[in-house]
Amino acid sequence: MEGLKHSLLSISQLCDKGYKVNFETNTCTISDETSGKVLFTGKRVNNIYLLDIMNNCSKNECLLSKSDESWLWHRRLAHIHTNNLNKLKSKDIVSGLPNTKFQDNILCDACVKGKQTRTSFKIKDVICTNKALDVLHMDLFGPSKTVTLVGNFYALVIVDDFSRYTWTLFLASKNDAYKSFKKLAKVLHNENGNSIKHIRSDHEGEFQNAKFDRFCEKHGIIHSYSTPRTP
Amino acid sequence: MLNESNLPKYSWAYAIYTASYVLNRTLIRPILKKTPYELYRGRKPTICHLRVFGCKCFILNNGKDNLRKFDPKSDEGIHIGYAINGHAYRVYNKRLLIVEESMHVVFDESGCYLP
Repeated sequence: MEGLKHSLLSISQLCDKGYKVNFETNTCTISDETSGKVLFTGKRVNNIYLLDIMNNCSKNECLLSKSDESWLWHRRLAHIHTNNLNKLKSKDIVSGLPNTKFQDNILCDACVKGKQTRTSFKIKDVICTNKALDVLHMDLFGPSKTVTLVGNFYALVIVDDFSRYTWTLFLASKNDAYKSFKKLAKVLHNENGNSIKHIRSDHEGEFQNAKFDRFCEKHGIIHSYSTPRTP
Repeated sequence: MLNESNLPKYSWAYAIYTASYVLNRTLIRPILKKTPYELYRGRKPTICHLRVFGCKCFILNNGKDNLRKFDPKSDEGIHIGYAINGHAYRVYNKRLLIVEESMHVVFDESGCYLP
């Protein structure tokens, strides 16, 4: 708890672990449920039962030292991953390593700070659209170093989300993106019968401009942008 | 595709167009287990007309010039894709040095084109 100098002990968690907690007027005792052995005794001060762990327990320290060892070796071996550490031990690759089971999943501050990576983007196993032309993804690439015979530098790639049908349009300049998309939208509308509902692009200037916005507004297309710096 | 056929780099647009044309007809969409073409148009695509990109071909000189009796009937060309509409092929005519669309093409897919 914040602002508290002493830490609170959860009785319910102790009970879950198989300990018995007994409160009396002046003292409280924590004992093992099966053997009945008293592990800690606390005394009552005003309305609070105090448990002095520092003086009280010798056993707890012993418990700590076991996890300390894996922690120590983790730090000694340049913050090695515990799986790797266990592999070193089990396959007998190095000598001098204590023969204990190293604890998994140590959350190390330094490791997180130094080695944290982005969470991966999980593959979806459902298809969110149910008709062609519901969502179109589009991106523009170029300028290409070599010009095509007709003088095109850029290519606009449009992919339908449902069918993954791909259209490629070749452009001489980025300004043409709007014009050629307008043309394609009309063709697709006539060809398929459905109209485009939703388009998704990046934040580049050829997509994020007033002309594009007006076109989308006129035809009732939702234009959303992909999040920057994510795949 | 460009490297296989030894075509010059400036024909990248044709290569990309052909790639998307072929992938639209052959890629299998996971889960739905259908090609994009079928999902979009509602019928199975035919791929019997697909030919190797950049292969040698002969284009029939179909009444473009007045041919004499012993003139060759066809021009040599390179296959560089498919027409936007219909089952024609887009070919580069080596004699006229133009890109044209034609139905009357015979392909030689045995060897690759060497400049």
